Amino acid sequence: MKTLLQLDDVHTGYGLTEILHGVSLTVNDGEIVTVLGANGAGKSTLLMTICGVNPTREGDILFDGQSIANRPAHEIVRAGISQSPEGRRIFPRLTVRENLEMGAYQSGRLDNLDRMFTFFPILKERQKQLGGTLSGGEQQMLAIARALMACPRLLLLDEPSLGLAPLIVIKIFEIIREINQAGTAILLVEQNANMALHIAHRGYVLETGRIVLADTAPNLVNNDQVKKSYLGA
Amino acid sequence: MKTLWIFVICLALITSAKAEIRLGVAAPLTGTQAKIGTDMVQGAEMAAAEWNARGGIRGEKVVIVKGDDEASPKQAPVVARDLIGKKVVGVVGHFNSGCTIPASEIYDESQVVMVTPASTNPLVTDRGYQGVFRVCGRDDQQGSVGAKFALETLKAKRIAILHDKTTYGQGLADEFKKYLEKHGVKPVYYAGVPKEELDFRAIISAIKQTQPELWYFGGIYDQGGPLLKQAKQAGLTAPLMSGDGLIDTALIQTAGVDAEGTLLTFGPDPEKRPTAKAFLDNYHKQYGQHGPYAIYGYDAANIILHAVEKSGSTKYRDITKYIHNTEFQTAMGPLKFDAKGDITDTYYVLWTVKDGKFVLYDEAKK
Amino acid sequence: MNGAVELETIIGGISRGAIYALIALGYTMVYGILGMINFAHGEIYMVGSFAAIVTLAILTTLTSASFGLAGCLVLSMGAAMLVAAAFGFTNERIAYRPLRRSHALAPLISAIGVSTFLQNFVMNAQTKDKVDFPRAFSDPLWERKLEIVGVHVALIQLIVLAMAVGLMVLLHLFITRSRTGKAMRACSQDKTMAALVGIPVDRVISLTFAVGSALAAAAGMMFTMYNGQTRFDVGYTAGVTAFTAAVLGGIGNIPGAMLGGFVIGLVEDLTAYHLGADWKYVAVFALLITVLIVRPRGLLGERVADKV
Repeated sequence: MKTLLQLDDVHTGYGLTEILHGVSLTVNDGEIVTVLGANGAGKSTLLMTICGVNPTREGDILFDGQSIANRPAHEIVRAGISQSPEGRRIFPRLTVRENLEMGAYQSGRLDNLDRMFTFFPILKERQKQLGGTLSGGEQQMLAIARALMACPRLLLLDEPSLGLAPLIVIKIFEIIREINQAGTAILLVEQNANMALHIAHRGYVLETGRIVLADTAPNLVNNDQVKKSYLGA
Repeated sequence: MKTLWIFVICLALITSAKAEIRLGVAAPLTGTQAKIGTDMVQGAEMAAAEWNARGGIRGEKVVIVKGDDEASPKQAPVVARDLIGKKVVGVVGHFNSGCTIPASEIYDESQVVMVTPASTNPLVTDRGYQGVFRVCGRDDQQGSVGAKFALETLKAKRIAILHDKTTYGQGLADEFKKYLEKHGVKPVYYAGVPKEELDFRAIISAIKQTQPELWYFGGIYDQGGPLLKQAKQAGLTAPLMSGDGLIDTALIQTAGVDAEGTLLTFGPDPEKRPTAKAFLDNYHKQYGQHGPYAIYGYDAANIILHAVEKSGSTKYRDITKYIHNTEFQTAMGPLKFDAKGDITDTYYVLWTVKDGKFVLYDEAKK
Repeated sequence: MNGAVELETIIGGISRGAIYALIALGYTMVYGILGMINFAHGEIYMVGSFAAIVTLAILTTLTSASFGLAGCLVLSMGAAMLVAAAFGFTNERIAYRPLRRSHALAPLISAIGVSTFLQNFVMNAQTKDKVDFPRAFSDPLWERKLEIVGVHVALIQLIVLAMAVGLMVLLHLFITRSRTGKAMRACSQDKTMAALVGIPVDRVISLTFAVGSALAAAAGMMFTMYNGQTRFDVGYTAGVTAFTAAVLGGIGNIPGAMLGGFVIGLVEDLTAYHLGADWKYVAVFALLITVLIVRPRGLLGERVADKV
């Protein structure tokens, strides 16, 4: 399997505080990789660093063999990485449709709209509504759909289940799997470790800015430490 | 510390020992009124040059020290202090009454004589300062002359009044109004407009609304130009009357044909005065066409310089005493000051704009 | 008679308000996207007015080609907008972008510095005195008047109003329909997210400055044509008034800036007409304070539920 994303000893932080102290991980073509970790472990920081929002202070990030560390965010999107961030960050005063159009800012693939509307029929119904007026579940779908509008080769998902009703969570994870089966690699950050390990191929455990464990998803499910810390067993 | 004082004293000695008589000229030299201020400075500079050509005063060269008060009552005292610091024997200035009044307090305090070529507000000389003089008239005279003309010659009954809220503009407008009211005519409109304003349309509408036969503006030419232009554009056809603040070629430059027929009160025409001929010829040679205030700057400078020479002193008391007690032969004719520092006879006359030029009203009629 | 003059005053107020609205847009757009008050915006307006007059002078003296009255006016407005856009763009690059991550007051101070710089630059490079708008280009527009039931409206008032409204419609279409316009709105709502979807945020910010500056320059040219003259310091009053308009309408809100401009133009002229010009600032600021007490977000600034 070909390596799509590779992080080598990445350090980053805000101001004087360092958050990631040398993170290395890989995502291969076609994989779902999950990053588990407690609040404040640096998971969202990790995704923002990959996307170029946070600077890479040390180490390197390779995407498809090319270094993307410290490139401007919009160039990284153009290269093929897009993110559905934590808190969904829907543009509240843009309509649903405009939110999706913004997702296609680099790809220009407005033809993808129809595909998204088949994925998420509710978005088609709501397309003229302002993003801020959607319910939490609808916003999550919109956030994922917006990220997909960029036709990414790697999709970063940050806490897609946060604050959603269990039924909707199941639906969202079904969709994530569908997207993956359609050929998009996924890096998934999730507090709901059960669900995440259920659909992921491999996983990493991040603790206070360091990777402490890396294995296949089935092995992680059976790992005592993971069980104790993340699976609530 | 001690050596520093010695150094300062030496420096002061050197500076004062340099044989020259310094004459201050304070006027707006930047901003919208720069033109008129420059005219005044040029008049004074010509006076200085003439003295120097005659060998100076007691062998000392006359030097003009300029101060720019920006037509701002706040800046004027700063300029006054600056000129005093430069050890001037007297000051020609300022232009705006609003500047002259606060500045004159400083001159009085520091005992420096001041002759203004243009400030007409009564307060300039009404505060009893011994060393404050003016070679122009007063607004109570000017306002009365204008109002009398409006009532008797124009037979206007409906008169609107506007002013720029400055000491000069409002003062003049109030004197004009006072005369009207004394003679039983109540203005149909009376209001002020901020000095910085350039868009007068709403006010013009309000004035137009009162259907005046004549309207009066107490203010300066930098607003007068746009005001005239916009009045004509808005169809306000009644003639405008104003005072000496509007009498500058820049008014005609801005307002063009819209300035035609505007009535202005001002001193007599220097070109009709035989005494002014030499000045005018020289001025034209050196600077081109004269602005209305050049000759007043020239006269004011000469009065101070004469006093310095004849009194044989550069002391405040000697100079003021001399000025108070002497009849001067100026370019505008013989001139004497009363106890307050006003000239004993003023002769405001009506001017108008005809064919793009300021001319005496009586001549335009002919 | 009374009604007609009143109506004329209202029309005058609306034309003047349209110009304020154009300037206010620049304040509100920049505030919307950067959350900062660009105090140098009034100076850009002033630069625009000078650029227009210089262009007219070049068109009439240096070129032999005759563009006609309308042609010259359109060309000079275009040139003024381009020059101002360049100034606005450079202004952001030099004075604001390097400070984007610093203390919130830093760009504000920088803006005041730019404002002083531009005023003095124009004062020295051009003139300290007022500059007349060439009469040949403004008088014909004043002389042509429409009279409808006793109400006189000069052609220039209609032109100013039409051009201002035209520019506002164009801006509205640009903001709501074009890809870049939508990106601008996205940036003003969430700059990080805008970057995450691939919008080049810095470029969009530069463009916002350029567009806002071009509108201010158009306003500068119209105001100069309307009032007959400009000076190096006209940006101050116009800037403060337009900023008030932006706050009145709800800062950051584009329709709000337009509405605020019209309201202030009308209030100014109606006050000057009824109570005298000395009262207009009292009226304007009394209105502003009242609105801010009753609706702290301004007339159109509404609290949008940003669900998280």
